[in-house]
Formats: sequence, structure tokens, C-alpha cells
Amino acid sequence: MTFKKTQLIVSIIATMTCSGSYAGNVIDSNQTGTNVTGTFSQMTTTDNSIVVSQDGSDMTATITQSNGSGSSASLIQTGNGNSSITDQQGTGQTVTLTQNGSNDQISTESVGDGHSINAAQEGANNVMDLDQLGGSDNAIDVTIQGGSDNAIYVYQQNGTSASSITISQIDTSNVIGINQDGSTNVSLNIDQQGSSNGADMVQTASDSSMVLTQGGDVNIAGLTQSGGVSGSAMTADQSGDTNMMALTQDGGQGNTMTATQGGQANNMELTQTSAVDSSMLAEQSADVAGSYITGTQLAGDANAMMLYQVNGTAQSMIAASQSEGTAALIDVRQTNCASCTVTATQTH
Amino acid sequence: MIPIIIVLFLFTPLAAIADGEGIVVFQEGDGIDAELEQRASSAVDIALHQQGVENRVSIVQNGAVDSAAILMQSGTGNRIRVEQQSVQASLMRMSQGGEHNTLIAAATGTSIELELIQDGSDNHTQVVAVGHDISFQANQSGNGNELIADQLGSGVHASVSQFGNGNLIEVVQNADGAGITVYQTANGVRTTITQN
Repeated sequence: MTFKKTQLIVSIIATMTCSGSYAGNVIDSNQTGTNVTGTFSQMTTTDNSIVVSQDGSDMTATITQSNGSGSSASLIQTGNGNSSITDQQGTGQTVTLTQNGSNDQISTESVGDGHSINAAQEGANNVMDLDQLGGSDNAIDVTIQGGSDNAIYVYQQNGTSASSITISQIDTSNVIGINQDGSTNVSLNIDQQGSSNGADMVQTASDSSMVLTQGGDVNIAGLTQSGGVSGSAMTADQSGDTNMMALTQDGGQGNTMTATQGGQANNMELTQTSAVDSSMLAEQSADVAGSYITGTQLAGDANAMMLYQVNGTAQSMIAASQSEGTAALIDVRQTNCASCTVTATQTH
Repeated sequence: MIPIIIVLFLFTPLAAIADGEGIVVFQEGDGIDAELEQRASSAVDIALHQQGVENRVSIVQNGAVDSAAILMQSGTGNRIRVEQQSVQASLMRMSQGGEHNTLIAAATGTSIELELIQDGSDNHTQVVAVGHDISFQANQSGNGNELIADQLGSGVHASVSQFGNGNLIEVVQNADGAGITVYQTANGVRTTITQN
């Protein structure tokens, strides 16, 4: 029996703690084996770093950096059934997390201003839970999540401003859930490529943006900007067949939503409630047979609705409704259409 | 009269809504439907342009003041039905180009103008107008066309022109101060005007 095999059988618990009011400290750890636990802490620190590598299965890494600034943590886990827990507080901390394998989990939380979370997973049945609480100028960047049946949950909450979330996910049966709750000027950019994926995005901040791109079939997306936001925009694009998207803006002034779909049997629902001087633009193009667009503007003035089905539409439908508002416009267009229907209702 | 018809038919309804308020619809294709409804007390407009065959349009404008429905269809076997209910100072302008088309206009209210144009053969126009100060102008160019109209109320007026053979005009006016002007040029035309 070699030394390496012994490592795989025997459980290892490694605990390394470095604490104190110091700067420029470094923790560098490499662990291999099964059922390994590593705990790494830097308390009241500035410009410190933690670098952890775990190679094996059922491994756990816990990283804590608190009450400092400009520190960084980096974790690479390779194997199945691994998990990481990261907690950063202070200002301008950075964490980079990478997992290669299946049934892995990432859980990270940062509190304060100027934090950055970079996370990547490759494999199946993985989960990410990324939280940034409070502060401003924070960023979350999930570069690639390749594999199926993966889930990403992201929360930027409690007064977040000038912050961003960027996520790229590849493969099938993946889900993304995002809640970005801030005061102003936040951005959200999601790219999902593959089939049977789902994305649910909620944003409550003015002068903000939300962008979703989905490529593939049987995808579903929900985009919501609520809480009376103003000057905000949402953009959604789906390419493929049998996709569905629902865009909702609740309240505010000067908001815009833009939705595009290319393919057959797609469905989009756009709703603006109690909005003023806002607009929605929806376009289904290419061969969009059997597709639906539903636009609703309820209880707002000076709103505009543009709903278009362009080229190759057959048995498609557009339904437009405006009520309880004045100075409103409905603009509906269907071209190259066979057995198509438009219904439009305007009530002032 | 013919130059007037051409000018009206070339009118683009989508340009009618210049102030960014109302419903604008453009549809191109066959067997398509449009169902539009406006319920408002203020000025609202509808502009629609359909191209293709066997298309259908159904429009209801209710309670509007100083509003307009401006529609244009081109193709064969198309049908437009517009109801302006309890409107005031409103305009209904519809034109169809092609054959075997049907145009139905129903209006109730005060100070309503209807302008109806069909260019082609075997077309049918039907008008029902109830109220005060309602006038309609209908122009049909082609053969085998029909115009049937009923006006009830007061101060109603009609102006009908047909150019072609085998056309039919039937107008009934049950109103005070009613007037009608008919112009037909062709062979085998039939005209019946009744004022009660």
C-alpha cells in the first residue's frame, strides 16, 4: 500500500489559523485525499492572502477574512462532493473559487464595500450560493459553469449600489436565481447557453440594467424590476424554439424593456404596471410559427408598447392591452403571416 | 371624383397617429385577424394596414371624442368591421383594394364622418348609422359592387359614387333633415333610395 492510497482511506482534518492585526500575511495550503477539512482564517488584516488547493472527494474548505481591506482568497477544489465556505468582511476583499467535479458546493458571503467574488464550476449537480450584503462597488463574476443540473443562487442586498453581477452558464437543465436589491446603478448580465435552462432575476434599484441571453430550446426566463424603480432597463434575448420569457416592471418612470426571440413556438409576456413615460419593445423574428407576444401596460400615462412578429410567422398571436392611462401608444406589426391574430385593447 | 379616390387610397394609415397616442397595426399575410378595442373618453385613434387575402379586422371604439379609425386593406376576400359606439366628432376612414371584399361600418353618436372606399369588383359595403349629424361618403370602383346603408336620426347625409357595371345601391334614411347624393356611371346598375 502506497502512501498516496493511505491518504485516500484515512480521513484528514487540517486546521490552520493565522490571526492578529497584521498585514501582508500569507496562507498557502495544498491538501489531497478524502473527507478532508481545511479551515483558514485571517482576522483584522490588510493586504493578506489565502491560497488553498484541495484535490480529492468529500473535502471541505472554510475561509474567513474579516475586518480588513485589500486581501484575497483563492481556492481550487478538484473532485466530487467537495464544498467551500467563504466569509469576507471589510473593504475591497477578493475571493476566487474554482471547483472541478460533480456534486460540489460553493457558499460565500461578503459584507462591506468594494468586494469581488469570482467563481467557476465545471461538472454536474453543482450548487453555488453567492451573497454580497450591504455596501457599494461590489462585483460577482461567475465565468463558466459547464455541465448539467447545476444551480447558481446570487444575492446582492441591503443598500447595494454601483455593483454588478455577471454569470455565464453552459449546458442543460441549469438554473439561476438572482436577487439584486439595491438603491441605484446596479447591473446584471446573464448568459445561458444550452437547453432546458431557467433564469429568475429580480432587481430593485433605479438607473439600473438587467440583461439576459439564452441560447437553445425549452428555456424559461423571468425578469422583474420592482419597487418603483426609475430610469432602469431590462433586455432579454432567446434564440431557439419553445422558449418562454416573462418581463415585469412595477412602477417608476422612464423605464424600458426590450425582448427578442428567434425561433418557433416561443412565448413572451411583457408587463408594466403603474409606470409613467415607459416603453416596451418586443420582437419575434425569423421563422416564428406558433409564437405568442402578450403586452400589458396597466395604470400609467405616456407609455408606449411596440410588439412585432417579423418574417415567417404562422399561427402566431399578439395580444396588447393598455388600461387606466392616457397618451399611450400601441404599435403592433405582423409580416409574412398566415392565420395570425392581433388583439389590442386600449382603455383610458 | 376619381382623383379623389386615388388620393385617399394612397393614404398611409400608419402615419395617422402622429402624436404617439392610440393603436397602430400593420399585418402582412393571409388568413390573419385583428381585433381592436378602444374605450376612452378622450381623443384616441386607431390606424391599421393589412395586406394579403382572407384577412379579418374587427374594431370597436366606445365613448371616444374627437377620435379616428383609419384602416386600409389590400388583397382578396378581406373583411373590415368597425363599430364606433357613442362617439362624438369622430372619423371613420376605410379603404379596400381588391376583389370580394366586405366593409361594414356601424356608428352611433354625434358629428361622425365616414369615408368608405373600395377599389375592385364584387365588393360589398354596408353602413348602419344612428345619431345626429352623421354623414358618410362611399366610393366604389369596379363591377358587381354593392352598397347598402341605413341611417337613423337627424341631420344625416350620404354621398355615394359608383364606377362600373352591375352595381347596386340601397339606402334607407329615417331621419329629419336627411340628404343623399348619388353618382353612378356604368351599365346595369340598380339604385334604391328611401327616405321616411
